[in-house]
Amino acid sequence: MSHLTEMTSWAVDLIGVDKSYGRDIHALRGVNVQVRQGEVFGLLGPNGAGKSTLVKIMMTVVKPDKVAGTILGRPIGHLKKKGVMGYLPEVTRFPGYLTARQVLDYYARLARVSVVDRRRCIPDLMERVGLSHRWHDVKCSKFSKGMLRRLGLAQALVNDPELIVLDEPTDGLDPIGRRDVRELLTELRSMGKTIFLNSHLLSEIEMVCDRVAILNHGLVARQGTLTELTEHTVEYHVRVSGDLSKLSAEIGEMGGTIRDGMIVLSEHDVGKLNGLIDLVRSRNMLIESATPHRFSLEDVFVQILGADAKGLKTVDSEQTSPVVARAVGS
Amino acid sequence: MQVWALIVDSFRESIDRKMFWVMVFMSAVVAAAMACISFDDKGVDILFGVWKFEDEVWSLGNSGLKGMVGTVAVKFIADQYLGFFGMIVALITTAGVFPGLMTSGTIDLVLSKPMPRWKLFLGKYLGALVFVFLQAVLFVGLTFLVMGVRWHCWMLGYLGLIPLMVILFSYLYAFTALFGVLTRSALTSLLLTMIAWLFIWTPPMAAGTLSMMREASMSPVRVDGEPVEVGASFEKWERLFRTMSWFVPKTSDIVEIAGQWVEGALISDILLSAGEPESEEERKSFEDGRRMEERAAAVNPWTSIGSSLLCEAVIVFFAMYQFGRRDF
Repeated sequence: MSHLTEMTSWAVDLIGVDKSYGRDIHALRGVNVQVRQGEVFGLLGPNGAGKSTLVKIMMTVVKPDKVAGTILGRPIGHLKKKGVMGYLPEVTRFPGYLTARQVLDYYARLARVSVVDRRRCIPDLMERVGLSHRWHDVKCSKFSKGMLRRLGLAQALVNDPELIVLDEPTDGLDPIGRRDVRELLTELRSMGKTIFLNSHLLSEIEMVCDRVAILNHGLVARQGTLTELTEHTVEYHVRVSGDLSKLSAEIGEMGGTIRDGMIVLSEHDVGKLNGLIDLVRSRNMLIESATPHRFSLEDVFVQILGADAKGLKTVDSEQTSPVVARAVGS
Repeated sequence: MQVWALIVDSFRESIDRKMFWVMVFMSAVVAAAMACISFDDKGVDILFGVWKFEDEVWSLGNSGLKGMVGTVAVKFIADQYLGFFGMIVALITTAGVFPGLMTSGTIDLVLSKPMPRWKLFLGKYLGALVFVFLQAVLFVGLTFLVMGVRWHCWMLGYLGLIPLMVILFSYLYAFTALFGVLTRSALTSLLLTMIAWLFIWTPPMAAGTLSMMREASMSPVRVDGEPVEVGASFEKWERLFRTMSWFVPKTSDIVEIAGQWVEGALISDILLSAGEPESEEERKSFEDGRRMEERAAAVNPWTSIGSSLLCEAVIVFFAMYQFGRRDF
């Protein structure tokens, strides 16, 4: 029974997503992604990692070579389920001859939204994404990039979707616009919507996402909650008054390094930290501060890319759940 | 609801294009030019009484006048203006529909909606036909009224040009859609459509020409005093081209069908009604013309259009298949 509950709690449960473009480009190499219903899930990765390909596969814009699993409990492309999904692509090109209202009406019709619902929700939605009343009947060819992004966001929500897939939603928005989008995402989460967010902006992901997957070279390198991704990534910074250069050899022997005039211990080892403090004190130098420094998501991200660059393996397609991913990642 | 949304969108897209209004303007100019001419019991009146030419040939009482109007309708309006110039302009205007649909940012949005790809393709295809339908309604409607009011020739059959022009356009647009899907380029798809048009126009035209040549060679031909069987070799090639024309949309038949639908459009009738030919040579050439026209009149509209639509369906199906299987 609990197994069944677990199975049905995934809004997105994709297993072994594989996609190649021709013979040379292997964009996705058996990616597994699981997103719980009602959570905000962030997809991260460097350029060319396969993020957009994964999103496009979810939205049937790209056809996968291999895939198993479900979206909202049905296979990818199930028309009824697509009707309760909203999508904002990375690039949106709206017909310039349509006004904002007509754009939303057009996409709502394509999403099979009834006339009554269209009339009711479209004006509200435009206000909600920050398109004030005076823009409702203006042709969108006159819109700025930021306004088009807001319109795109409204378009993704026009069918009151259960699952919202957003590809770089804040691209082109000013800081106020970005804050508005974050607030909207928080509001949508409180309404029980599932949000799949693909973004380059790590800080944005950090602020709104419950769980994150980091994609690299077509593989999921890490997947888990933010805490899970960062909990084992603590280093200590010891700030000392005086010249540390004379101690560099001894500090190195004890596992520390000197960076920006302070001792950095890149391990979560309190014993070594105290050893380093004793060393400094034994030379009559004063300790100004000793602080644990938890890695940000950005640090984890850079660490993964760095590790990959050094030839370390990312989590491969054998990974079947976030739990496994966490175990390997940590 | 979805296909209707796509058609409405195509309509909005059409009226947003300058080319749409250029075509509307040209239709109005042609209709206005035709309205400057009128016929009465005595002859022809040009520019509302500025010039009057009294001639029995151009008077309302002359039986050949209706034939002359029919000829204008078929040979100039259906064949040259709508059938050639209008088709090219319509193709230029609509060639960008599929490449435009497939641009990044547009295709992502529509494919994410709960709609199968074939439906999206058909919606856009029908949208382009709606564009041509509107233009045809406007032009044929205006000229129909002018011919009725000013020329006193109410030819209901002339209204048949509206569906015929849409059908002719649909034959060609099947190629534009296919090449648009394959190349994602409006210009390339347009050029390839022109080549395809030439290709599908060739077999029936070649068959018709060979048929004429075969008939002309029925009379004994002597080379160096010896009789030569020219007709037999023509017949073989004619049969080949006729067979080939079965497998392509028959664009040239549309004008012939228009001729059947518009009454009294035989040129030879008009020429003969204008007066007896003065020489035997003239009479022979009239009779040759009549034979050609009778052969054209023998085109079965249902067989021609039916087989052409079948070819079109195959092309559209292939384009739809390509559209359905590709990544964007």
